[in-house]
Amino acid sequence: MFYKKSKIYFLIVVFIFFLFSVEIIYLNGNNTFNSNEIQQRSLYIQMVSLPDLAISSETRSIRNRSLSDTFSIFNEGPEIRDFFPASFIYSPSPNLKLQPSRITLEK
Amino acid sequence: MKNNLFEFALNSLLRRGSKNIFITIIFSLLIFVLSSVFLITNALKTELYSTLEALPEIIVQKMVAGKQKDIEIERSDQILQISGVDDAIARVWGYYYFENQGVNFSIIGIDSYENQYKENLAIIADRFTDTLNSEKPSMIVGQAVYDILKQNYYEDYFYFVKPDGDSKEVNIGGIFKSSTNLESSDTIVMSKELVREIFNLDENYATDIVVKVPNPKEVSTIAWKIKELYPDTRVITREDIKVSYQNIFDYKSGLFLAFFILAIFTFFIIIYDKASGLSSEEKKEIGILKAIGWKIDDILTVKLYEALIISATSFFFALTLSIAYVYLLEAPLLRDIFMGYSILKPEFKLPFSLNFQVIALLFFITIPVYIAATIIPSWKAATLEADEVIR
Amino acid sequence: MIEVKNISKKFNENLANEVIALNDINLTIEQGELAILKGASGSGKSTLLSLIAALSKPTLGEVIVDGQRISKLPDNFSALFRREHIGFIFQKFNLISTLNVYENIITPLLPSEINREEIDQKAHKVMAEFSITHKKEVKVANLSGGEQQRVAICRALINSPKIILADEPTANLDAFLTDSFLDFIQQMKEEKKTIMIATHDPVFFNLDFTDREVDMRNGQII
Repeated sequence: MFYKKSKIYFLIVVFIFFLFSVEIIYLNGNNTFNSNEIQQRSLYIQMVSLPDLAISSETRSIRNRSLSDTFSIFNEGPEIRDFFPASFIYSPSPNLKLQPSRITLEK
Repeated sequence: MKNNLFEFALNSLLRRGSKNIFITIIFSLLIFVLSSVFLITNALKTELYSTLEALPEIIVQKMVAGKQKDIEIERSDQILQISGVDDAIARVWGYYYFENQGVNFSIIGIDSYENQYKENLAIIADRFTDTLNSEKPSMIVGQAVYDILKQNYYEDYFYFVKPDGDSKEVNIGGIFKSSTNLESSDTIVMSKELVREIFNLDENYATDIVVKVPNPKEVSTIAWKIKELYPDTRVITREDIKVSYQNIFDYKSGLFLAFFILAIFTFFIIIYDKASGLSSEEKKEIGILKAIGWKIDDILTVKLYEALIISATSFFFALTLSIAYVYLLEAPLLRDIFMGYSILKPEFKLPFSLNFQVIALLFFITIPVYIAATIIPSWKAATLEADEVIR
Repeated sequence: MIEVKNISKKFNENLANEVIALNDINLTIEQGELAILKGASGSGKSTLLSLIAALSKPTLGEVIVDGQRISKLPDNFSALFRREHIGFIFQKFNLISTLNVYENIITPLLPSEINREEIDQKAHKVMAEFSITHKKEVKVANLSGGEQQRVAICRALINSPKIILADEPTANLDAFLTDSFLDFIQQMKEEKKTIMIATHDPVFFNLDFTDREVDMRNGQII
């Protein structure tokens, strides 16, 4: 009678860890990182040679982020930065050097 | 572990049931949302890095007044002269605006006469027949493109509208396999000639030039040489793209900042409530326990168990849930934040990679703080003379 | 044996509201003795009991129980001392109101690593002795004064202490229950336990099984 609650609690903990393990095992098995799929993706990228994911294609500066130019960030004019919600998640590429580089400033 | 004290701790939590359930729920929710966000951003980065090596070593763009402009094709010949350069290919690509749905397709031109491409396409595209070289112009499309076109009743072919107003019928010769979804979903691949025709691009110009350099140590030298050769260009190396990938999420601003501030705020409300001291009832209870022979250690052990039970259980429960949420359910609601307005959304099937550093980070910034906030006021009460408290 | 040597206890020392609860008390209680501390409220008898139970530390002097100097013991050791030697019955019982009878009674045993069967055995034995077994699942907040007192006594006795200290044990009881308590004290005396009772209830005065009565006034023994 006395340890009933401890037993129930440990059952709950064991259950959570069981779920966790099952998840990990299942996801590892179904991983999109098996060699076949990686090869397919690599081949595609080799062919197309474009970086960045097709996750968000609202605006050029996000879609091909690593290659975008300053114009694509200041779409409407030099006064206004891109206003799409995705530009609040993805930061502009350092390739644009929108922020002054500390090295050049020091020089 | 002291079984008796553990059971006492459990009972103690259940006695103040509703308050503790509330804390557990809030704590779990906090960890759930935080770990989901971290899991997603980490998975996206992993996906990006997994294909990094397939990218060209150098990409050369011509910049005029801060804007990318078409680059002269003959420059690729000059670049090829630089020692260490294996190949310099002029690339043609751009965005086609599909008015009906208000979306932009990325269109990339490839050299269709190379055998290598035929073999590769067979591996990465479904329904692919060697139609790129046939008389009827054809293209391979990404899954989302295919879906959108189908919605607009274009199932086997599509009419592109050229800049001069004429239309160009192009067959849909294949769909990229779902394994490439995250990269290919909104793209269309066709022959270079076709791309030039659709965009009315000058034959002597290309969008940019990709340079292949087999020796990684020479890349920066060659990049510098290209920049010297053509000062009006921007030269992007694979290293630059890697840095760009690293900085893809600006955690210190935008949505993340608003979001983390909210999370920290909620967390500190919980901590403040705990750390601002015990109620007089709780203090009296500690005094009574001391009076009947409990050591301070015993009292603190119970408090530690209480804090651990709530925080550790919430943490692992929330983590388990968030893994299921992100990888099994494809993160409904959160994925819309990462995918934004775009209608051309790929399947949000993220690669599974558990970053233990992030989990450890989450663990150590929440659980020890919560435990400390629970134990410190109890310790203060427990060090008072028992006599003072129970009178 | 309990020895109290030159004990003084001051509250709010050196402040404007300084109170001298005990002033140079000397007392010796032999093993197996029943001692009644008589005196009005504020005479210091409760404070003296607290010091003997190592619930607080004296300002001056020392308390020695069975050869052990307990007044200077660090907190953890004084708690252990209480757990092993003392059964204290508080004036207001000091039961944990959110626990039930059974849970309150076994609380002193929980920190020691006794297994639950043994704990259960001891609890049922002592509950049977004081006829409270039928209420073991009831929350103590829902008990009558007499029942609460029985629970307090059970809790004080569960670790079979050699010394029993009671502070105004009959303050909240009617005549019938007071008699029951006196029977209990007599029984403990027969079991050769050392007992000290602080009270101003005249029912404890001039009992035939009391070994000594100590009068206290204004923090001193008269």
